[in-house]
Amino acid sequence: MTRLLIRKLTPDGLLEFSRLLGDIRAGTITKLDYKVHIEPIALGPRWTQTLPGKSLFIDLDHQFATRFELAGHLHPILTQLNVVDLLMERGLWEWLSLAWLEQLAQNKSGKLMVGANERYLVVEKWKRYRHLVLGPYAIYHQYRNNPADALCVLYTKPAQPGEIVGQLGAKLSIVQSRAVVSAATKLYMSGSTPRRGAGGSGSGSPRRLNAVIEQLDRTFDLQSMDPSEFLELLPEEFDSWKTKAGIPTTKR
Amino acid sequence: MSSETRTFNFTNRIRIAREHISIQVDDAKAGGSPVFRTRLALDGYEFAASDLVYLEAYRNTEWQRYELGTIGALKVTASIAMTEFASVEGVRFRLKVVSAEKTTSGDKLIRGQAENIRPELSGATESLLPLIPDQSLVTELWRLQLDDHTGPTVHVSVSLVPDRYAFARSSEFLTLAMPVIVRRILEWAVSEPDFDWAGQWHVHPRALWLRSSMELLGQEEIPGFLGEPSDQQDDERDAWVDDAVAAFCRQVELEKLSRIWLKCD
Repeated sequence: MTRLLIRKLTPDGLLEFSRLLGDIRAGTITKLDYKVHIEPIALGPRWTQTLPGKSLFIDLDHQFATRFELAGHLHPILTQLNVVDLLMERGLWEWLSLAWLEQLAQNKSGKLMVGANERYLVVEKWKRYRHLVLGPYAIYHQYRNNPADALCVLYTKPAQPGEIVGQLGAKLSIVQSRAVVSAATKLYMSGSTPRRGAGGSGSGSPRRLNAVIEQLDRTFDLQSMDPSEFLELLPEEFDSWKTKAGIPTTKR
Repeated sequence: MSSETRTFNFTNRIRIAREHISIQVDDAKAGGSPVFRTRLALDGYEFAASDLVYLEAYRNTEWQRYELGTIGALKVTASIAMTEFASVEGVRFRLKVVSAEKTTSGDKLIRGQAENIRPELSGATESLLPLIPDQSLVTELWRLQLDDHTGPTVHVSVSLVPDRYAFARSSEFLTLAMPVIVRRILEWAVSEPDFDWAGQWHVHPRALWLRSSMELLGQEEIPGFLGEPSDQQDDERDAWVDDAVAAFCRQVELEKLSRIWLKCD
């Protein structure tokens, strides 16, 4: 276990981190070496600064199997930080993604790969959900009383958020509605794994749910519904998913 | 040829006009939550007295709903705490009027809505030099634009700069670009010979930049070169701009910042 004091990147540190991402993307760096590429920025006095209050640490060697595990590991630590607005703290989320970059810059076969900048840097407001650390943390925090309700957008590997997260995590009307997120978890998840076909785009898929919610949200106040009320609104194409989940289908 | 955007509304939902909603927020005091006060003028809309009124504050995944009673009996509260938010940065509001009755079309129908409402921040001041993301900048990192309506803005390339705020706060930008930008803005601000300084003192971007520089220089009187034209006017103006840029450089500790990236230490 390698403990690392939590810091945040300075504006210069953010630029240095984006240079590192650019070098990986350009193929100048083909193998990440923590001591050579990450540590000089993550601990450098010019690139980082410490946070006020209690000294808090992360475990650099912790390998997270899922976004849920990553967010669950960080939540009790970060809520102790003495910062005004944790989710808006500039440089913190980027520092965390830099510290764990070796596991966050991987493709499905485990090879070094960085995607778009917003996976590591908090860029435009509407892209914050794509950040590989802030994205799952913010959802976990919103559902902190029962985070398992949001498993449908937290079950994947941290470096590969996947189709369901892309479809459901991107839309405010979905992530801001406890009924919708909880219902989607019931429909598409069996315990901590997705049901077969949940990553597809066919009838009743998350992609279709996204499209249906787009319509329902204009007519119904989804935020005041409970999951069962929302499930009743879904059209027939979702019946097979309801059956798989053991939810009674609606008589029409 | 004029273009017109046409939208269709098949939901019978009433669009609530912004001028009928006023939301004022106070940012969090130490250890507390932000609070807001609201004034709604919904009398002119065809809502039922029993319709429920909700205000929602949101920012990405963060969301909190406040029940404001019904159209017939709106709850008037002095201020409401936004306990789900630690600050009001980037927070927007959504006002919803929802049917309390179960109708043939269903339950919990939205009767009226207003989205993406930007609250007024008590005591807030807007940046004198906003950073604007610009898709069209593909070969330059940034470009200064001077406009009498919007004021000076720095446009930053979206494709070349991943984080425009970090870019603008970097030692390199502050030391290499900002003195040039400030000089150019001040030259623009004082270049209009017939400008109505008295009439525009609190509103016009030229006046706001002049006032800000006067504060930096500790001046209380409008510089003499802005009064009656004289032979020395140009020299005086150039000297004043030089002094103001120097004061800016001292304020941002340019010498110290430049040592960081010049690696002089």
